[in-house]
Amino acid sequence: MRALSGILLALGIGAVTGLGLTAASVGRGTGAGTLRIGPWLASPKAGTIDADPYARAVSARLGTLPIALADGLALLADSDSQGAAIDGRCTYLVSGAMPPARYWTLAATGPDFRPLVHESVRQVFTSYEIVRHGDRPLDILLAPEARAGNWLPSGGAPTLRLVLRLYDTPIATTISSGTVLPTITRVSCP
Amino acid sequence: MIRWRNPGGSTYGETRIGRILSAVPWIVAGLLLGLAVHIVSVFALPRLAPDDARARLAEVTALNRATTLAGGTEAALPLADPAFETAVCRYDLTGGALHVRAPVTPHYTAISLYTSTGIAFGAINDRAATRRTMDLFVVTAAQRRELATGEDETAADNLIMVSPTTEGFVLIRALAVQPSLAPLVREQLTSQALCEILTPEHPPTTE
Repeated sequence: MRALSGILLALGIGAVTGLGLTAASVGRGTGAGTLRIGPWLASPKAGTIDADPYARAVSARLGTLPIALADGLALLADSDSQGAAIDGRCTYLVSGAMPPARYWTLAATGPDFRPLVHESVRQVFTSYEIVRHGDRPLDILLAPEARAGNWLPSGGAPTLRLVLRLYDTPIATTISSGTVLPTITRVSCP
Repeated sequence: MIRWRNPGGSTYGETRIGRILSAVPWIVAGLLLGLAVHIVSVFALPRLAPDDARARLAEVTALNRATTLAGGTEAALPLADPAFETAVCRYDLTGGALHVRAPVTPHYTAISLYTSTGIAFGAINDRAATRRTMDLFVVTAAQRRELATGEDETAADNLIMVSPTTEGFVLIRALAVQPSLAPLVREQLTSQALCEILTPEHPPTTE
């Protein structure tokens, strides 16, 4: 009788901790082999045959296909450069130097990677569309309402994620924690 | 079996300590089991996830045929870049090698290859193109060995990629640098993207 209740206890603890750990690590969308560079997260190995089991589980769970590394590299940001979670009701400035890449795109998505705004509104900025001001570094404003300059609509979603994709970029294979990436700064909050 | 005490022979406090002590090995066993469950479930997820890319794409694409995804790419592939137009071909190399052709669009085009569980195993972009189209052959390891020993030396100037699995996907992705260009790029993909299985009766389509 005591052995039976012991086995049940062990099985219960095993199932809860095992599946709990899996849900927590896969749900976060990050795993081993993820680089943190300022606010940005990159998993360059995810787009290769050497993808680690966590990266594989994440893409299976979300139903995504990671960008192949020979094609490009995706960087994700859930928080700003100060470490606070990005809130779509606030205004953020994305500025600084972009790493070398033939093309890049910057999109705002929900935590599940779905777009926040309708297709008729801008969902993404491409490097081709950006308006540059002389020698000043790049600046893109993420805000719920229209702004002058490079405005990326956030749809006012409380939680959102910025996705910066670099295509045909030499940093795909050389990226390290010292790579210079744009900063994300909170400008104002209602 | 070890008995902690003689039933009825000790005080209430000793009984409780005995119970707790006897549970410790089971708790440790449970935690170890939990670790094993975690490792097994992470490895099993790519095979078990019901709504993975393969399942999503199986609904909207035909086998060994290029299908241009409609404007709502997001429904099929959530992490897809909204600035891109995409053609997909789901392949099965059992019948022969796969020939993939992609048009070179005004800005950026890439062909990327995935196994059936969504692992990227290779990609090329339009930098590799020498003509107005990019041609690529996907083969299994066994088909690759046949090619190497075969007499068909013209294969030497073609790009050949070895697929680690018999089944998989090819994504042909083209960048529309501004939304107004999207219909144009999509039209070019629809008319020129090609996927076909090569057999002795079916040589590669030429322009």
